[in-house]
Order: sequence, then C-alpha cells, then structure tokens
Amino acid sequence: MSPASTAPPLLALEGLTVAFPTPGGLAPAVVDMDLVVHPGEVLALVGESGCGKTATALAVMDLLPPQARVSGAVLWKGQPLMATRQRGRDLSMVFQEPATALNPVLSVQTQVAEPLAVHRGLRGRTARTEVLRLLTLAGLPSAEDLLRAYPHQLSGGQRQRVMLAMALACEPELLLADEPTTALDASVRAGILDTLEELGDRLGLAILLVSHDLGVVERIAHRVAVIYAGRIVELAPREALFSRPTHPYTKALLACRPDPYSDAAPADPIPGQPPDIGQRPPGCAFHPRCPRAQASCSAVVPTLQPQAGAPQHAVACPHTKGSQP
Amino acid sequence: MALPPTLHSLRRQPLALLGLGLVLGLGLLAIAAPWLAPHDPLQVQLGPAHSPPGARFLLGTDAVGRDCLSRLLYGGRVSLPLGLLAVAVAAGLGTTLGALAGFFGGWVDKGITWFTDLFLALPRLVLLLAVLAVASQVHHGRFLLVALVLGLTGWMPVARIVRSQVLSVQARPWVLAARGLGLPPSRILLRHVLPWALPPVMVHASLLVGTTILAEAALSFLGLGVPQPTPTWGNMIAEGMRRLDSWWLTVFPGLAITAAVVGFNLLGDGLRDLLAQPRENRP
Repeated sequence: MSPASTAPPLLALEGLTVAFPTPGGLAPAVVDMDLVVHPGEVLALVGESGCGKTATALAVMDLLPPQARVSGAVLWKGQPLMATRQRGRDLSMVFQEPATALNPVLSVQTQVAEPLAVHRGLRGRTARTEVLRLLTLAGLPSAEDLLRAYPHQLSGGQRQRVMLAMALACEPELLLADEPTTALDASVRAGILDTLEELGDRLGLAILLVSHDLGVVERIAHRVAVIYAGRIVELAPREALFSRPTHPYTKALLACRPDPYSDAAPADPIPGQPPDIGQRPPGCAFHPRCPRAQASCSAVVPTLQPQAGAPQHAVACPHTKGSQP
Repeated sequence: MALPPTLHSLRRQPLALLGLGLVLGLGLLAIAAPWLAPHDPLQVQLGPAHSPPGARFLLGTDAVGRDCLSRLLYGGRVSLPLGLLAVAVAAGLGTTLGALAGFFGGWVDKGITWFTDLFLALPRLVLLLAVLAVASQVHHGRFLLVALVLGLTGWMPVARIVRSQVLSVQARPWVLAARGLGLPPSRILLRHVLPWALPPVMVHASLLVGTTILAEAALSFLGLGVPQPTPTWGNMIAEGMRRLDSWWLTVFPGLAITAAVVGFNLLGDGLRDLLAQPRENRP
C-alpha cells in the first residue's frame, strides 16, 4: 500500500534540533531535522545506537529530560504540537523495554484502565469492557485471565501488547514506537509486527517506528529515514531504499546485514566507530568512514536532495551521481 | 507491597525480631497499664518517700511516695504515643516536601532544599528550647505541643531521603511511559513514583521514633516537656536526678527509654536489610 502522500502531514518536524549539555559543551543529538509523517503511514527512523533516532521521538513527545535543549518546530496538522496536552490522546508512544515500562506493582487492568479514566472518564464495568477491547486490539484476545496479572507474570510479548493497549486508549492518530520489538524473541517479534501493521490498516494509525533492525523496517515501513550522527542522510520509500540504496552509509548498512539464509559471516562491517556525540566530524559526519570520501566532504554539510527522476527519494550526498549501487 | 514475604523473611533476622518484640512488648505494657499497674500513678503518700524496691513497691517510691512501677507503666502511655505522633508529623511533612522537590525540580526543588538546609543548620535542641520556653505558659495540650514541635524539627532527613528516592524512581521507564500516556502529574507522583520512595522512609521513621523518645526525655528532663504530675519516662528521670542515691528513680525509666530506642533501632535496621534485599522483578 502506498500512503496518501498528498494529504496534509499529520506531524511535521521543521529544523528540529536536540542538544544535551555536557562538560565539554552542548552535544547535539539531533541536528536541524525536517521530516513529515502522513496520516496512516509507517515511517521508520533507522540508524545505529546514539544516532539520535530515539531523541527525535522523545522530543516529539516532550519527554526529554529537562536539561535537553530543543529548538525547531513540531507541527501537528499544521499547528504547533502541544505535546503535554495531546500525548496519550492524539499521539502515544510504546517503549523498548516492556519489562520496565509497566509499573511492576499494578495489575494489567489497573494500568490499562488508567488512561481510560483520565482521558475518557471511564470507570467500573464500562472501563473493564473497554480494557478488554483494547487488549484484543493489541493482539491479546479473550484476556480476562490477564486482567488481574502483574507485569512480572506476563511474557515479554504480552507486556509489549499491554503497553500497546494503553497507548491505544484514546485511539491516537500517531503511534511512536521506540524499538518495540528489540527486547523480544524473534518469534514474538513477528507477531507484534503483524499487530502494528494491522493497526495501521484497520485504524488508519500512523506509526513513527524507531529501529536499528533493518529486517523490522523492511517488513512494515512505508518510508524509511536513515539517520547518521543526528542528521537524515537518506529518505526514501521502502522499495526504493532497499533496492536502490544511494547514500554510502545506507549501502554500508545494507551490506553488513547478516543473511538469514547463509552461514557466512555478515559481509562487510562498516570500518570505524560512529562519532562521539560531542565530537562530530566537520562537514558530512560520515566522511571518516566513507569509502567515497573526497576533500570537500569534510568542508560542507550536504543537504538532502531529491534524486533525479525520483522526487520521493532524497539523499544527503553529492557524490552519488552516476554510481551504481 | 508484598508484606507476607517481608514478615516471613523477618523471621530469619533474630535482631530485628528482638526489636519487634521490644517495641510490641513496651506497647502492650503501656496499653495494659490500667490493669497492670498495682497503684494509682498520681496518688502521693502511698508509702514512705524514697522506699527502695521491695515487695510492696516493686520499683520503689519517689520523693512524694508515689509508686514508681505504676508511673513507669503509665509513662509509656505518654512517651510512646508522643514519639509516634512526632514521627508521623515528621514523616508526613518530610515526605510531602521531599516528593514535591524531587518531582517538580526547578525552583520548587531549590526552594524546598534551601528550606530543608536552613532547618538542618539550626541546632535542634536550641530550637526546641526556644519554642517551648516561649510557649511555657501553655499547659493544656502540652502533649500535642511537644509532639508537634518535635515533629516540626525532625522532618528534614525524611525530606532528603524522599527527594533522592523520587529523583531516582523518576528515571524508571514506567514513569516515562505514564507521562507519555498523558497522565496528570499528581497521578504519576502518587501512583507511579511515591510508593517506591516509601520503604526507606519506613526504615528512617522507625529509627526516628527512638531519637524522638530521647528528645522528649531531654525536654522533660529540662522541664520543658510534658509537665508533672503526668508521668513520662523523661520527667521521671528529671525528678530522680535530684536524689541520685535513690538510684531506682532514674535507672528504671532510663532502662525503659533504652529498651524503646534499642527496639526501634533494631526494627529499623531489620527493615532496612529486608527492603534492600534484591527481589525478583524489582528493577
């Protein structure tokens, strides 16, 4: 399915910058990020640990620690997003660690019913019915037995689904999912991804998926933004990204993917380490690790440019023309 | 939180059990004082003044011929509740201020921390003496006044403990998740943060009861606590100081205070060990 790219964006980031104060000065986690999420689409943010993808999601939700410096605009349907008033209603988030994202001393029913009571005033039997409906929606059908269970009595997949049910309490239009399957077994992962995909189709839920797992991204994303050192280096529809990766970093990422059907070691690890958040190289942050780096790469920060003949496919690298993947 | 397992593992801590026994024992003696006391604690000239412990007066008599055993039993009815009430005031105030400081941060935190430091910097006994000396005309409700003043000068450590606990619990993922769900701050604080800050408060409170009973004794000793003729362990010692050759006047109330302080301290230590134990699924 192709998302309705012509509809007005649900969420728009304009020049979003997130920086953290460190002893050595302000360390930028996200730099001048422009990004839109359309209604009903699954947009994936991909990158290595520390590249700023989670900081982006937390900045949208206004959940960053108080010392974080955030600038730029976050727009919701064209208006400035009031995250503290809208979160839990218009947009919700599920987290990486379902084991600790649930309060260990409250039962499933109590926790799922909490947003219902706060946002929709549901109590008692109505709340219970709604809790069961949400759990079903999140892929836990006939969950009566689970209502009295505590988080430690649930499996990892069940916990993530409970978290999902809580996030769906007010039928949000956007779900931010921060590595929703990373802490889970491979078999459970597939089930959760199916559920997310189904929610997108059935409820028209847009999903901003944060992941380092290209397998997950390839499965459910409509569009993919590849992030390196706080900047988007390539933004493309899924098919285009996986069949015609253009930025050297994207190519390197895809090249070092383990092949599930072969016993061979993953082909080519990317040489070097991602740069430390406080000491990003000047110019294109990837140039010290880039096989195609030129002198100009350390001088100018490349901007995202649409590819010739593929306006949906934007790449932040001036040295890709004429090169074949 | 899981109380039955807690009580169960308390059984593996003999010292904590001893503490619990002392506290419960003293409490029961105080509650049962009207039935246990052989005489009226306020009745003067029951026998000769300063009779040493013997068959008729098990713990002897004081300067005006009152029965020391009866006064000791009745003294527990003042000293123990006074200590508990003062600690309840201190724990309540400290928890409230510490939770607000840790949860809201910013200038709320700065203000409350400054206020806490201010109170900590004042020598407690001097403060107590000043307040109680000024209020020395107040005779009715002296018990409440002393408890309140002790509580209002003892909340600072509780506030510090709760503040630091709240700061660390606030970083737990479920608190972030609760904020992400748009739950109001009051609800997040009360349901998702504060319950995790309370175990150390319980530990500290039980230790505080001991020191508070001591403080009450010191005040009564100085004549600023609960006045005669109402017996408290503190003012009994104060009376006995005038005649140190009648050793029983000071030794027995002193032992009662010691037992209470040791009891609450052992209980507090035991609770700390219990609550600090790593428990399954407690991140």
